[in-house]
Amino acid sequence: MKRRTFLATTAAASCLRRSTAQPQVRRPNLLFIHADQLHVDAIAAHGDRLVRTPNLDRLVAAGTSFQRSYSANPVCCPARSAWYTGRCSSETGVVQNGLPLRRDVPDLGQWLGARGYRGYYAGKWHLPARPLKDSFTVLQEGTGLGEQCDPATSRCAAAFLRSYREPEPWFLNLGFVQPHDICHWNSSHAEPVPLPYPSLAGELPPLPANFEYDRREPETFIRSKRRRSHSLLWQEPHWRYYLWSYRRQVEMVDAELGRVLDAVEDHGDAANTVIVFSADHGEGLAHHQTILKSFLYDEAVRVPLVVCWPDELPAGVQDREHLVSGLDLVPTFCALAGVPAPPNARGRNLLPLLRGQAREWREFVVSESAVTGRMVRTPEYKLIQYEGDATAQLFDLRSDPGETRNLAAEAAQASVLRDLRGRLAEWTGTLEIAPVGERVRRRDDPDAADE
Amino acid sequence: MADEPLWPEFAAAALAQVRPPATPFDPQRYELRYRLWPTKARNAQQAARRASAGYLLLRREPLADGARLQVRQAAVQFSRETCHVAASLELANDALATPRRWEVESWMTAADGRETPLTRASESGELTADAWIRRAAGERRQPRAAQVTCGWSLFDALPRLTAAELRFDLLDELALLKPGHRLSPRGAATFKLASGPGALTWWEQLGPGLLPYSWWRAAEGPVLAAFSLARGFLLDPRAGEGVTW
Repeated sequence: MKRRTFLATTAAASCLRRSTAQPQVRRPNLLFIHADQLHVDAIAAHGDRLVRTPNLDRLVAAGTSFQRSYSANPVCCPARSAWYTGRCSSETGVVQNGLPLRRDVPDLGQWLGARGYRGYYAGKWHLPARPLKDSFTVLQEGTGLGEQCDPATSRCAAAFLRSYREPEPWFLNLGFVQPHDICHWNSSHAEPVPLPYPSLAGELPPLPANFEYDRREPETFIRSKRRRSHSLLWQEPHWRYYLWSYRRQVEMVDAELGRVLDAVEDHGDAANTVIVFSADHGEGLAHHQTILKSFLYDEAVRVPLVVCWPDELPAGVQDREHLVSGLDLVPTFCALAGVPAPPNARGRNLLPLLRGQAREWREFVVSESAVTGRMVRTPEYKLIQYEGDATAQLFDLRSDPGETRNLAAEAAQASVLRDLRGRLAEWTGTLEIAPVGERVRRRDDPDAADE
Repeated sequence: MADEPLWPEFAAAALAQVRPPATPFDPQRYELRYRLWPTKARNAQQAARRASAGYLLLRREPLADGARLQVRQAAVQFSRETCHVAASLELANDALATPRRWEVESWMTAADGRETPLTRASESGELTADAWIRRAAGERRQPRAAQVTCGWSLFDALPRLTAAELRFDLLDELALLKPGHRLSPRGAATFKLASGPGALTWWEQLGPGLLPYSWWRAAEGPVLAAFSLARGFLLDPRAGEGVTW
């Protein structure tokens, strides 16, 4: 069924629903799909002409895609802890991969499950010490290799969507692993080799415009990421082969997503199903000569966020204005479900934005990284700083969206720096920070326990 | 040294585990068993799991105007759940073993072997002269390219391939369209196999939605191994022991 047909079908279904004048509003089904390590711009509908993503494009065309969407913490476990609790990673205790989620903080599966939704999960969860079965009915738990797990995840999703018959609305979560397999690719290519496939020479993507960067970076970041990078020995051909390989892995998850979207269309209640798609974090993709994640440049911390609800929300919107966060998912899902958000959820309900009814919106968004790192981003500026680190980074994103000129040391920017630091301190002061052991604090690489 | 599927060290590690069939291979009627091989084992635990990551079983029988290929596939997840796929394909007698029509069923089993509720799905489909048709809860129809095949068909096609490049759209698992693939010969080499030295020819597959795959074929024989950077299939008569057709 083509998308045009899908929209026509769902529109007809919606008219029918309205004409029968049901007195009680039926709560929507909620489908949360996440990819792992998906760079927000490695999507054809977001402008990448070197990747084929017909299904991500299909989602973008059907809903609202937030272009200023930020991970709460750009590494797997911390980002997921924020998604599923609405709390900052410094509050959940999951400030690095492998750390346990605080027991007293409920997750979305538990919260919505206690309020009339049937929660199901397939795919990668990656929240240590919070067994998936304690929060959801598990269809499949995938972790490790995306190429091995993702087909199972999409098959489970399709089967579920075609066979669910219960009266209660469902909350289905799909955690795809790809394009996270790029981690394995990177670790396999620390020692660069000539291009193994000569016929690809003409297809290799160019380096990004911000491949060269301002070297005045925080020592914390240099120590934890730069000096340990698998890319230390790469030359331009190796970078470009990496860019080619990453896009193939994006295409893998796109294909699996297609199987799910087809099944959504088949399940008969597509008009009453909200799809939220995001990624836990991005991928360096050679911007600032980075690979992987767990740092606060946009390539790692800015993530896709698409929300679709046929008939109820506008389609084909690319929101380039509003700053949104992974923290916003809990309040949004709760609003969609018609239930209050858990206590101390930090994010905001996106529905007013999605409906075009928001009169005011947040002035800045904060992300955390590597225990001591924080980023505050306003519509104009971005500040990155690590506790105790002498070097901060300040970028004027209006004139420098690629974050190539660090303005933190410029006297003319002193008031901007002061203002951003004030906002960050104010925000941090509202948090209930979970204690972090010294051993964790000393561990350099927040990504170390990945998988 | 980087791990690349075409690199001799990488390929040698895989092929050293493979034992070609002792009897002559009949490309018309065969049963082939492959072990699923996750290539990236970063610790001992992962390495141990390599041995039981799953299997792909193929059984072919000739038809009057083509062939029937039965498929049993299992992909074991890290949580010890297993994704099962059973498929029956009718193949054309052409270079790509083009699937003409098919039925595919999939389901999950938990670590204890019991089927997981709500995970069983069935699909059927066909390639007509001008369309790719899939049927599940509804029917989807979309135009097809002139040359189309699926990964399972390539196992059947490789033993007959000559040294010319093939271009095709890949219907991955007969459900996911990945257009613009090419399969090209890369040459011949002798490797140490489990049974001794063997002369192999190899092919590379490049295209969207896939890391490069290398296919390794014995002279006058079946595909012995096919792998990408992350995952592969190794011929192994013990793979999927006990699975019934």
